[in-house]
Amino acid sequence: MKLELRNVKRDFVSRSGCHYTCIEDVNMEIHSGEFHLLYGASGSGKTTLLNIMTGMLRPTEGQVLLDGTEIQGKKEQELALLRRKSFGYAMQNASLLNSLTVAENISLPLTFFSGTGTAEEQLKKAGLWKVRNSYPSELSGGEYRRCTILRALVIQPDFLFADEPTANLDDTNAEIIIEMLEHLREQGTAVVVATHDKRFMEDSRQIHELG
Amino acid sequence: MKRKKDGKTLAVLYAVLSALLIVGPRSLFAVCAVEEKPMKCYWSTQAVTALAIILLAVAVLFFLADSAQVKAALSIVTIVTAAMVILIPARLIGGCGMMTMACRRLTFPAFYVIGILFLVSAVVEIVLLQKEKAGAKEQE
Amino acid sequence: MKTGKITGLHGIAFRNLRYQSFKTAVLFLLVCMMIAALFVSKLLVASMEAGMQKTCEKIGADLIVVPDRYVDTVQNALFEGKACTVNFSREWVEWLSQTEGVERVSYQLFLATLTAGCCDGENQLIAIDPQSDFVVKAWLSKEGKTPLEDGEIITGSALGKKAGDSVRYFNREFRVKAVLEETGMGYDNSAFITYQDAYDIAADPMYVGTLPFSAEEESVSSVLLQVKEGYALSEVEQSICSAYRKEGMSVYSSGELVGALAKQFHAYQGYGTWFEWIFVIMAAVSIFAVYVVNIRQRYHEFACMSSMGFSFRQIMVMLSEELAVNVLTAGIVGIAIAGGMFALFHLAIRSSVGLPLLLPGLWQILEIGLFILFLNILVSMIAYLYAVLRLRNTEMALLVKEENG
Repeated sequence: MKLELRNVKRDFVSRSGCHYTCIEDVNMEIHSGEFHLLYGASGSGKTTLLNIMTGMLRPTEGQVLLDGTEIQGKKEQELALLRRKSFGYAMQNASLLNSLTVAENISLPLTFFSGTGTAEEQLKKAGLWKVRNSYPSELSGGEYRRCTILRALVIQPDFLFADEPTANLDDTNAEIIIEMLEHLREQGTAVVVATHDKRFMEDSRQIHELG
Repeated sequence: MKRKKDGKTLAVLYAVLSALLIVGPRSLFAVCAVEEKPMKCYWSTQAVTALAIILLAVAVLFFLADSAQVKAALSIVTIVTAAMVILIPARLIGGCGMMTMACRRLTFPAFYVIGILFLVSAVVEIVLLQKEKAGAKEQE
Repeated sequence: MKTGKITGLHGIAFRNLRYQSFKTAVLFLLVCMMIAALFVSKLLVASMEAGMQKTCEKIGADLIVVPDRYVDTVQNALFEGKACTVNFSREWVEWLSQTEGVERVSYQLFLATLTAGCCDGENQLIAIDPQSDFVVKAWLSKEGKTPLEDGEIITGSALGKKAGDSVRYFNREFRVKAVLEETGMGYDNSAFITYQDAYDIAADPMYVGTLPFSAEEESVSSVLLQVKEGYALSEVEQSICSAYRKEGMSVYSSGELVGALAKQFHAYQGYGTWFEWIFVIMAAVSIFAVYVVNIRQRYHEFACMSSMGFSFRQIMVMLSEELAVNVLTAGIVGIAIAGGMFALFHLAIRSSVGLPLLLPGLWQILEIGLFILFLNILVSMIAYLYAVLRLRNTEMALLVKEENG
């Protein structure tokens, strides 16, 4: 599968009413089994780009194509369907529902959309079995990030998008996350990570510098 | 979810309501003063005061209680006593015949409201204790 | 806590409510209190209306004649149930019945009772002539309408008696023949006996001098008139006044006599209507604000659900389920508590308001309850629609930014 961005631009209006351009002329091709890094400082537009790729934001100009079909013009319902089946998205601050336990959060997409039951196996593999009955607010930073990734990959998506998955994590926890993502890529999923963490830097990964 | 206050709030609520049952009929929602001989309303109030002392003791025990079993037992005592708080003025002893007398107009309705508050909170407490028990079993 | 599979959007909705139990409780209490306060204020006005309306409808007489120096006393006896003893010559009854335009004449004699102890509040004991009475009869159900006999008594609803009971007044046993329906006025505290019994009491050596009339006197305390059809009230009132002013007679139409009360009531009603509307608006704005703030605090969660693949419609269904639980439970509980408290304390409220106050009928109470519940649902729906429109016009990813900043 291929996700393609052509001349993508996104403008915003600030609270004071000023228009400003966040990203401009972004061109990118993402294929299955690739690892892409959106690299840049805070405010460089990494999250905006991820949101555009997942259909959570529409570009002001340009095209987002999935296997040659434009997605930015799709209806909200169709975009939701796409995120349900093909896109796993681990947002930076909004990836788990606080009112559900870890186990419930992770199996939520399964029980709702594919009816395939719980994510017991995945929880064990990710070392989260012990905290399965805890609430997100009770998790450590590392556990929380692992949960967000696990929640995104549990549907076995074609594309996995992760926003700053290793932010504020120590090396050990960052390593676990990077390994999880790498493992996913090896299975054929395209992984796109927005980060400014140098620990992701590796020659095999495609780096897109923003800002 | 674990209840964080361990029933202390409920104990305080019980204590406040019990105090209201003792002080109220003598101040806030007083019955008429005894003249030649005490009437039914006076005896109803005295009986409710006795029950209020029991409820106050229950409140203290509730504050000190740690075990769920003790709390459940105390809740049952509360239910029975609160039912009596309602039944004594309504049926068992009663009050003045005239609906416009202070006891019928203000004191007894206040007893009913307080009695119902005791009843509802004790029933809710028992339900929560049961749920906690079921939850603990599930965790095991 | 039970964990595992969450089935259906309502599952998430309930878990949200439970997880944020403090917020849920505060929201519930706020809405509940608003609803309860609104319900009580509307019920109070409706009760006053019911009381006033019934008093005017069932006062029975078109004109009431009393000695001019006793007008206030009679008014107090009639509306507030304050026991009084007023009397004047029975000759008046003869004179008045001969006046042109008068259809029927009924008369009453007031005997205040003695208070013995705490539970024996002062009752107004009234002697009536069962043959000519058309006033007391109006408050009786069919069974009680057969003429009152000596040794029998009709009691007001507040005396706590039922037909067949016996009751002691002036050291004499009376059998309760019937109980008046609740009037919301002085008759609730009154009891009615025959003239013969009243004179027997007056003749009792134990009470000689206690009552302001003797067994030999033919006394009355008030005369009640019904005007013939085709005659204007003012016309008859005028002719009585001009003929008997010298005798110290005062004539009042029922409307005039309830006039002071009506004035007081209209003042209440006037302020009441204003306050009610201000209150309705304040409650609506508060409930709206509470709901909107609650929805705004959830943007983070909506974005999260959207990123998982939940559609906008699904998120809105979940939100509406949460709102519905709150709106309905808080509304119903608020109305039930307020209604219960009002019913329990309505006698206390009546004595503090000083107006005839009757609990409206069940249907009217239901109507008020439904109106308030409808108002709550309407406000919550407006808040919900407002939130939906705002969310629809905002891209999901921006919600997180909005909530954060």
